[in-house]
Parts: sequence; C-alpha cells; structure tokens
Amino acid sequence: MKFNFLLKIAPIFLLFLFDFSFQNFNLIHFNLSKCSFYLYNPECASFFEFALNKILRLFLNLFTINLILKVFKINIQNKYYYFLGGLSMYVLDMFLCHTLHPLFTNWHKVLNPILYSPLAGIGLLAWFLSTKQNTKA
Amino acid sequence: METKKAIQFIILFALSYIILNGLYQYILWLYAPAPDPLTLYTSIFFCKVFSQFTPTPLLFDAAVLISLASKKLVNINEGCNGIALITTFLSFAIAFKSTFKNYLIFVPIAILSLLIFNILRLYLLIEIKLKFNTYFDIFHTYLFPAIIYFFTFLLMVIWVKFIKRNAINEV
Repeated sequence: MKFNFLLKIAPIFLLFLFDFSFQNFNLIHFNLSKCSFYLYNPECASFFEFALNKILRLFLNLFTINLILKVFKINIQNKYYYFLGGLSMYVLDMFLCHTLHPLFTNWHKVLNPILYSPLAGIGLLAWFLSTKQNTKA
Repeated sequence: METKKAIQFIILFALSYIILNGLYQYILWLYAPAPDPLTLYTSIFFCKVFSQFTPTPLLFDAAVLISLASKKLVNINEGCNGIALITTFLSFAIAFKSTFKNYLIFVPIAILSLLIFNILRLYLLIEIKLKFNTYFDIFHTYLFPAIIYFFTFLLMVIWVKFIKRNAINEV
C-alpha cells in the first residue's frame, strides 16, 4: 500500500473515531452528555436534543460514505436520492421514537447501526480495500 | 459497472444487517424482561473463565449482574455480548459472497475470535472499573467500541483476502 494512499484513507478512520465520540454529544449544550442517546429517554433528555444528536450522526455517516466513494473514485449519479432516502428513514424513525412504543423502540434498535453508526462505512471501506478497486485510488 | 457493484454491496450489506439484527431483536422481545440466552451464556462463560466473578441474572432488567465477593460491579446486557459484531461480520460475509466451503471454514473461526475478543474486552472493562473507575466511561463508550469495530474491520478484509487466495488455489 502506497504512502499517498494511506494518507487518503487516514481521514476516513478519523471520521470513524469522530463518529464514535459523538454518540452522547448534546448539540444544545455543546458537551458530552451523561445521558445515552441510543434510545429516546424523556427523563434524561428532551426529544429535540435526542433528534439533533441522531441527525448529526446521520450526516456524519453519509459524509463518511461519500468520502469513501470519492477516495475510490466511484461516482454515483443520483446520490441525492440516496441522501433523501436516508433523511426520510430518519424522519420516520424519529416520528416512531417519539411515540415511545416498545415495538418502535425495537425497530429503532434495528435501524440505529445502519443509519447512525459508521457501520456501513466500515463495511464499504473493508470491501474497497480488499477488492481490486483500491488500485484506482 | 464498479458503481453498480458498490451500490449492490451497500444495499445487500444493509439489508442483511437489518434482517439479522431484526431477528435478534425478536429474540430479545421473546425473553423480555429477562436476559436473552445469548447474554446469559456470555455472562456464564465469562464467569467460568474468570472464576473470581459471579453472575446473577436480573430477571426484570434484561441483564446479568457481575459481582466480585458480593460487591456489585457491572451489568452485562444485550449490547455487551458481541452479537452486534457477529451480525456485522455475517452481513459483510453475506454481501461478499463466496463458496459454501469458505463459509464453513472461515465464519466459525471469525465468530469464535470475536467472542474471545469480546470476553477479553469485558474482563479489561471490569478491571478498569475496579482500578481506574474514573476512566471507565471513556473506555466503555468510546475506546473499546472503536477498537472492537476495527478488529471486525480487519476480519472483513481478511475474509476477502481468504476468498481470493482460495480462488487462486482452486484455479
């Protein structure tokens, strides 16, 4: 692996770490909250704080995926549709979380790692690094 | 062509993850509010390996309390049993298809190594809790998830390399 290539993928790893460190970040108070923002808990944080944390992580996630695609020179023509798809899932998920119904809480747990964690980015990077496509980067 | 492959990969990876994770959430729902069998067996196995600790299932908290000489230490719950990592790796293996033989050889090894890695993580976290309690949150919430996801990432890379090497050998 060339040094230039390592330099190119270093920011992606930094973004992964950045994403992990934002798990409990409260945008309103601009600090790391003692509350866990994994699930919506009205006794710990307001719904607005919870929703802001989730959208921050969604944007970070989409930004990381976009960066990976750019580093590996993959150009998706209609990527705004994917972006809108992610955003729609977020709106639906937040609406369901707000009801505090146990069934929807479980649904949030299913969706959470894909929408709000760097999981998809990690998988995508592993795939690019392992396949021949990395020779293009 | 490569773009299509990349999109196909992301969609298959995400779908596999949602299905596998959905199944696990269903198991949790079946056993709620008691701890699910996977969390229970992870805790029991942990206490068999590190026999100084004692597990106590918390039947209404979906967790297992780990204590040391009747001192309450930590609760092991659904997020601590390593299933999320196994699901992540399995979704990747499903999205990056290979032969049945490769799945049979590599997947059990990968799952076993993730379980061992997770048991070690639990042990280190408990030791940190006992000796450096102020740093527990940093290690639990930030450092260990990053380390363990990096380990899973390496397993994904090894999986693809393993498939390629086997493909070359078969040719």
